[in-house]
Amino acid sequence: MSNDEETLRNLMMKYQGGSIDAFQAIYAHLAPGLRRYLRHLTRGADSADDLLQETFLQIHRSRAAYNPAYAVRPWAFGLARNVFLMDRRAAQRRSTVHDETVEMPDKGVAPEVEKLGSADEIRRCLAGLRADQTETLLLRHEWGFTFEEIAGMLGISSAAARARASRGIADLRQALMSLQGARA
Amino acid sequence: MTPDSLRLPEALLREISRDMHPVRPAPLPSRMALRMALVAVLAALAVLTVVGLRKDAGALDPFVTWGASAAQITLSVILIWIAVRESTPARRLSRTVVHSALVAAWLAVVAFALWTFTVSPTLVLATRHPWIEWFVCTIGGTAAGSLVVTSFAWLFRYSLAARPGLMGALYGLGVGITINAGWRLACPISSPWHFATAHGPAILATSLIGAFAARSIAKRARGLK
Repeated sequence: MSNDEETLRNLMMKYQGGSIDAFQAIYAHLAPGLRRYLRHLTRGADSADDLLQETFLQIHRSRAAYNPAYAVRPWAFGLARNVFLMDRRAAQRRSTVHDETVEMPDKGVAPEVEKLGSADEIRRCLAGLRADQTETLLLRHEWGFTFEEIAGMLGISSAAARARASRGIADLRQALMSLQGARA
Repeated sequence: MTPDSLRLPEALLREISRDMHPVRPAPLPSRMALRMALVAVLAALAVLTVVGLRKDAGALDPFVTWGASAAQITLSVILIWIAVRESTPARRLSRTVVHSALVAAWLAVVAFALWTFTVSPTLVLATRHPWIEWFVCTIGGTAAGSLVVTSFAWLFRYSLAARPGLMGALYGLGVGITINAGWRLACPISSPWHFATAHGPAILATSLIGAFAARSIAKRARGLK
């Protein structure tokens, strides 16, 4: 377990014990990543900030449901995903207002893909992938979750998560090569 | 510098500070499932105590009576465990696992009912009106199950399952099968028709009540209409 995860776990236990300072520290740790994830899910919509607040409210309401045996980040990201799905259902897909500038990682997706194109090209090609592939790729390479953790968040088997990421990388590589071929 | 959108909003902090008190961490899904299944087993035993053991129980193979009921209870623990996993963010199982468990549970319950009929084919009792038997088994089974299921839905009110209906249906089915595990030991009729029109619908109704209760309570907890 990473030091960061261990710190979060200790903070979560203090938070369950009633510490508001622990909540503030958890917010500082998790909010940037959760916001980026929610912006990805909402395709860059402004509602991501509202959903971020809703996610922390739900974390607070559900804090007793957290067991210290769980890793905190996958639990919080899984919860954020549920908040997004609930909101989408409640609003009857109101958040399908797409912004073409999809929130994508600044970092490379994978070393072998990074070599194939610029950050801007990667971003553009990622936006052309299937939504489930992009989400799996980002969870894996942007936030560093294991395939087992991704499987738990998405409700799929870890083999399926691995396959999605692998197909996503292959499709991304192909899209990048076509883009560069067209330019040449 | 922290962008404004990432600063902890005052309103959120106020809301959380107002509600800040120590809470006890939830047990792991396996432990929670065992505890919940125990409640369902107690309800099934209560039914068995009130109604009494079927008259031919002594003559039947213990595998057909206690063995099949124990197997049903084991299945229900698995279903409730899946429901608890479904209710925990980032612990969900794949759809294939969930759907396979649902189908396997139904197939097992139907198989046990047919097995019992093969070993001891008892039809509607001549001394009573068939409607009474139907009413007792359907309404009794559903009532016992719905009491347990509603209390489970309340336990899960802040669980934030992505699919609360499915979660409720899973533990509802688990409870229904456990109640049936007790009921089948008490009911004197083993005909497939009686299972299809009374015991099966009671299990199905408990599962549907679970789905409905979980959805309603989850919506209410989130302040949705």
